[in-house]
Amino acid sequence: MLKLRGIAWRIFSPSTMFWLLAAWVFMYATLSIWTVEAFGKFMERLPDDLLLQVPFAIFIIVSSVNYVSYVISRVRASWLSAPFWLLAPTGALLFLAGFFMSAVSSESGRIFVGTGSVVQPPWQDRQYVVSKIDTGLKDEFIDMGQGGGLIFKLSPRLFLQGGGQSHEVGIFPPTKVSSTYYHIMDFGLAPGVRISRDGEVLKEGFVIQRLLPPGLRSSFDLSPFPYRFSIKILPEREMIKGGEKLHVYNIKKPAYSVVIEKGLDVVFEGDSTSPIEVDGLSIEFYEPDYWFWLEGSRNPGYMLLAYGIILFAAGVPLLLIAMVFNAHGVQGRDKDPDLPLDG
Amino acid sequence: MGNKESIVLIQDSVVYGVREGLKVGLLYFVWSGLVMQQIRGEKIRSLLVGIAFAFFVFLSVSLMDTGMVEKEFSYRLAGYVFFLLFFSASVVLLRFQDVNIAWNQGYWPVWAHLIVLFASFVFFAPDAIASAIYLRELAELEQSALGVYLSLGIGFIPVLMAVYLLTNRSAGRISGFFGLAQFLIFLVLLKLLLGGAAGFAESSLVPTVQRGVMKFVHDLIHQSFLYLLVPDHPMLKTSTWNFIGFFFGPDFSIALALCILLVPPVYYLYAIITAPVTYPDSADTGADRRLVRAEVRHQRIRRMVPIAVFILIVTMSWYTSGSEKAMSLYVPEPKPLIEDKGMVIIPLSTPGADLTDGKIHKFSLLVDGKGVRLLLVRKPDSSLAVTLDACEICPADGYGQRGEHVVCIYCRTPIPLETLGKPGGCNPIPLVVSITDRDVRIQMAEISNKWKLLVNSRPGGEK
Repeated sequence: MLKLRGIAWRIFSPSTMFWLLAAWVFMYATLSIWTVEAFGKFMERLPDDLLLQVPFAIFIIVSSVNYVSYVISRVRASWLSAPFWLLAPTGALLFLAGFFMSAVSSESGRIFVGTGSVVQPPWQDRQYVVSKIDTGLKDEFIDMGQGGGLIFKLSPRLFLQGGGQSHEVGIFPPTKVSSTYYHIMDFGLAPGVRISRDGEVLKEGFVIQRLLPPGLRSSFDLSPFPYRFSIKILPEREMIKGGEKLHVYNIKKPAYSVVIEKGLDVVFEGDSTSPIEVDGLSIEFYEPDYWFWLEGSRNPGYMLLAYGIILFAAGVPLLLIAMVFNAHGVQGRDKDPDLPLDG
Repeated sequence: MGNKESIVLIQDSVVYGVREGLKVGLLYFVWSGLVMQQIRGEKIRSLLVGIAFAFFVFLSVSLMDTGMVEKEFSYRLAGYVFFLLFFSASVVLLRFQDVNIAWNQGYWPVWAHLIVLFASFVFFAPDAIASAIYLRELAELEQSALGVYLSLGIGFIPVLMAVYLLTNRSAGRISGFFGLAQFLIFLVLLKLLLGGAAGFAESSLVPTVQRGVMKFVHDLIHQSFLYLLVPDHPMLKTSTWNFIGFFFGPDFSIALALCILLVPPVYYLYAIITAPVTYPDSADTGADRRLVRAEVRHQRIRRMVPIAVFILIVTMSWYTSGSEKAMSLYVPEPKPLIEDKGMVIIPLSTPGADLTDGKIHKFSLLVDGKGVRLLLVRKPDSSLAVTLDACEICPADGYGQRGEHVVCIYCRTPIPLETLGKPGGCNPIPLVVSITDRDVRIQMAEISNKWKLLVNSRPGGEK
């Protein structure tokens, strides 16, 4: 019995943690020196490879046991200082556990949706319908040169309807619906394009493009036609504000700057305010639709991961403070009381 | 080749010889000091046999006709041996502070000799390969192999002889400074200060570790964001992205790199300073105990010296140039190109540049009166990637190179060289080109169309 306890004591000791961590560092550094994308390779294999999963899981279990023992010792030492010492390790442990669960058991999928689209991830029985989408776009957009990040400020959202409830889904944080987290990965305009010859419509539909914020240019092909179209939204008018010339865009009914290439030749360069004539074809752009790129993920480790990061970020400064105070406390105690000065 | 260049090459060879001689000599010196008290000759022999094997590798590589792959292999091998040394040293510093190798045991089993033999071979083999390649290149430049190898010998042999003489006189005095941890740290220092070969060696430890840390942190954060469903940077506010970008940047990575390098030795110093003194039963008076305590302290201080030197050198390396080197991306100035009958032709090799050297090369040309930048680089599979110096997502700030990655200057995403030529994301936009034995040919229309589409798509316009 004592022997068993001894073995258990050894297995769950900090030494085991140290050696598992050292083994991982060794493996990772070896991979990164001799191959490329060591982390990518590790993550690629982790979901399926027991040789990686088992040591990772053992590391988490051993860390948890040591964590409990650490919590007890810290709380016994001082109730007041315990949070300073415990927050960061708690965060680190939760992060590790969440990361492992996410790697091993999460599933995700992405889908383009519009109003009326049905959403049903393969891991879920219940269907949801996109009952409404709200791009958050204003009728007019004034380009004030903000550049990137503008889309996030607009806060697009959509509503998933199912099971008698409606769930609002935005960009971040994701919304948990049943067991699945949803968020909007991207959204934008899908201009309507009609190609006809002598009044007969040959092709018609919406093309999903990245044109927002206005000023972005996007390209697409329309098979079987041998053309490459590139478009961007044209400003509707200009205005002077504070001495600056600003462009005002009509987002709801935009006009486009259009370049059409055939092979390496540019066969048309102009705007879409009137039908474009190319090789006897008439090309028209009409009122756009909107597209959303919705991502769904079933991830049992999500909350652990999220809280782990928060606690760790909050805990590191506290830990440093505690270490500084502790170092001050240790100073002056390093005297040997058993050492008399006389012989 | 002129006399002046010849003299420089000869000087290089002599300096090289001195450095290699110092490396062999210092290891011999310390090892002799450690094993001097007992059966020295036998234990030195295993070390010398290992060095002899490495010398054999040096001769083999010098005589072989090899290409780029060997150079790449040598570079990785040198890095890996360095990692093995530092890793072992760190483990020992953190876990086995009190371990003395059984230097003074009279009898060593065969396996102990084999370990010493193998370790000395592994220690010197990468440098032997690198040296052979470097000296062969020097010999080609000098057009005289004899001159180069003679110069090497002139540098190598006197240093070795001097160290040998010094060893007989004073090697015994150094044994008190070395336990297992100190010996491993000494090997790390030897590699750090005298390691590698000119032309393709890492001259400093800090930038290398920093680059690795940067990549790891980037990948870890990116993976965590994937799990947390955080949108990619085009969807984030600039301020949010700048905050996240701090963790991808050089300040954060240098702090982590220094932690990795300095925590084990600093912890060792802390442990050795705060470890209680154990008194033997015979020390029953205060005077005896003070004597014991003084002896222990003296021994501890000696053991701290090599570790303190290591800390000092790493800190100095960081303070002087390490961080700067890792921070700065290699961003070459674009070389101007001229269109010729709707085509741009870039020679693969000119007196001033070699497109197949593994570094990024940038070119610029005018399209409708505006500047366009191209990026060329030889990928690890030896194929050439030819792209625009811009991606589809970020402003067209272009790319720099850091090791085996190109890094988007705007969003700091590292992109492996292997993936260049593939479209999408933060990868540089690939161009359709034709590559002959002598040059790269690109249709002007291909360049201008893709660049126009790119810069017109930016709200901020062209950069």
